[in-house]
Amino acid sequence: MGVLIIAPENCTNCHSCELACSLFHEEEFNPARARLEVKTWDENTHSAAVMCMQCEEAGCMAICPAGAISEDKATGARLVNQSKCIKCRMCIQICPFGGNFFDVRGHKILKCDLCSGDPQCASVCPSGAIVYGERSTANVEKRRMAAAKLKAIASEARH
Amino acid sequence: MFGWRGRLLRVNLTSGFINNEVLGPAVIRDYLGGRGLGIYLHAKETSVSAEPLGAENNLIFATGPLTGTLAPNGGRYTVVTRTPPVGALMAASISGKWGPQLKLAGFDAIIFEGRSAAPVYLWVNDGKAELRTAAHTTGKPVAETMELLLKETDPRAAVSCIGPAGENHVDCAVIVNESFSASGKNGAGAVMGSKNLKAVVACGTEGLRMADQAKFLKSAMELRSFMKSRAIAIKGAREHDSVLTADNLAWEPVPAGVRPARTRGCFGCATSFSSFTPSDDGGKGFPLLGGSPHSELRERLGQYRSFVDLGLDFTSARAIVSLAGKNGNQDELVRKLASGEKFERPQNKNSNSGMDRGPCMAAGFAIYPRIPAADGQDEALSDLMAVLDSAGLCPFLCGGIGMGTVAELLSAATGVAFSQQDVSQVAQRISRSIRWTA
Repeated sequence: MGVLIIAPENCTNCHSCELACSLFHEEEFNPARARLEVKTWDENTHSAAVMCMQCEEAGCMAICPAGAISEDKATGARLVNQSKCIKCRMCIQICPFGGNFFDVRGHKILKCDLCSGDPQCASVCPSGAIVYGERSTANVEKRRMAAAKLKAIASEARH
Repeated sequence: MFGWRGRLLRVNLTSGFINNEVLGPAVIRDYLGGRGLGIYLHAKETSVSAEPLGAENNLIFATGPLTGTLAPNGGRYTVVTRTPPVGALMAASISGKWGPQLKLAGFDAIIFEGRSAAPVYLWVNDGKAELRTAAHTTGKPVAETMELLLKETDPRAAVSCIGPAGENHVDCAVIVNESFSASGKNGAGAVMGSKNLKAVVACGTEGLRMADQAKFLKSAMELRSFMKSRAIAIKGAREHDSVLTADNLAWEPVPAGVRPARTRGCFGCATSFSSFTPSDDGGKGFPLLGGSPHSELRERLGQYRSFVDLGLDFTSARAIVSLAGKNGNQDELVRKLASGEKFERPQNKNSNSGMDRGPCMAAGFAIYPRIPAADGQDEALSDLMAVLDSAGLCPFLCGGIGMGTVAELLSAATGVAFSQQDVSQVAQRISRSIRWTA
């Protein structure tokens, strides 16, 4: 089962993910209606994408009084059923990442649905800051880098 | 309307009157936007003899039909006006979030006329615009101004503003935004300052629709994946630790074993990797976008930022300051320059073209695209640059794409059938307008 892996160290602040997301879901380029947001701070020197992490023990799913959020068995995404949703915004408030958004234009909850298994943000990201990968191997690359660093420092210490 | 918004804001700073006007379909088809539209609008309404720092000289901000879309590196907007001392026509394309935000707010361009009696800023939000007092930001540097204005407008908004140098009409003052990309050496900041206009803040939620979404996405994504396999090889001069000029560039295959990782980019940038080779001393090239840690960015760009924060163009201001004193405290001299004190100006060796571009802010470097062909030495390249500036695309694309690709993107975005020849004609139309008004 796939997950979105965020590598903030690779984020270049280009906002392409927001454009791709809003185009796929709303058929328009509109960062304000994207299901993720690139946050920037420290005079634009730092940035990272923030979105739904599809938590297994999802707070939004537990708190939704209308039972509008359910699991998509195929992708593992937590989906909002817009016709059941009463727009109380509890899912926005409870999300520990701030990963759900309110669409002021379309008047609905915006939540990542993994684009039915082909997340557009990951395919458009030019620098690998958002990658769609397997849950079990999500952090393999980070592990490899840590191992390489450890190896380099350890060999240096030996000589 | 697709691609374009088809509307412009006319802001009369003398009367405080703001008009929301229709942009004629023929005009935007003929001049696209950005540089082309800006020059057209300026030439139409401002007399050649208008005093550059007088109320009659209009200041124009214009986006292109591809600004704010997924077209690679589509985050540019252009500032057009006449600048001191002789009133030369200038146009500078700048990167950053401001252009896309203006379009999302519902406008392709803004024309500023007249001069405000007191310092003001313009707040454009979802089809509405108002002038607000900017007294509390007077004399404030750029970063602080942006912080203050975002607090009283919207944290998602984007700001184009001037620093103290612009307020004091310094001839190398810039207009700058959150990316610290600025309007180049021509002194557009002084014109904005002369109008008592401190900043333009834009924010919007009005989505941009494409005429043929599937076709547009296909073209944009094909170009994006091509760019993933290409490195932008830049040849140029190193002006400073963090400031480079690109005199020449080409798209080459990414060197083997290099991870396409980098740390900074402008809005919409799809460039994956680039390298820089100094052209003068036969020096060795080095990778530019090869992942420098965030912690280094602020330090490396520190001096560049300190100039731009005061609203000064880095290259010009540094030349002036270094001429002024070998022994003086540089920070002190820069502050004095920004405050409007008189300094001797170095002799200008380069042909002073009014067509300028703000730097690319990748990986802790400010890279000025000063490709000489853009001054008209190589007509085909010069035309391509004019089209990129007008469509809202980044000038660094000139090393790898042709008129045909731009035509394809424009057609899918706007629904107007642009052939390669149509796009070339746009470029010729723009250079004719420049000649007529020069």
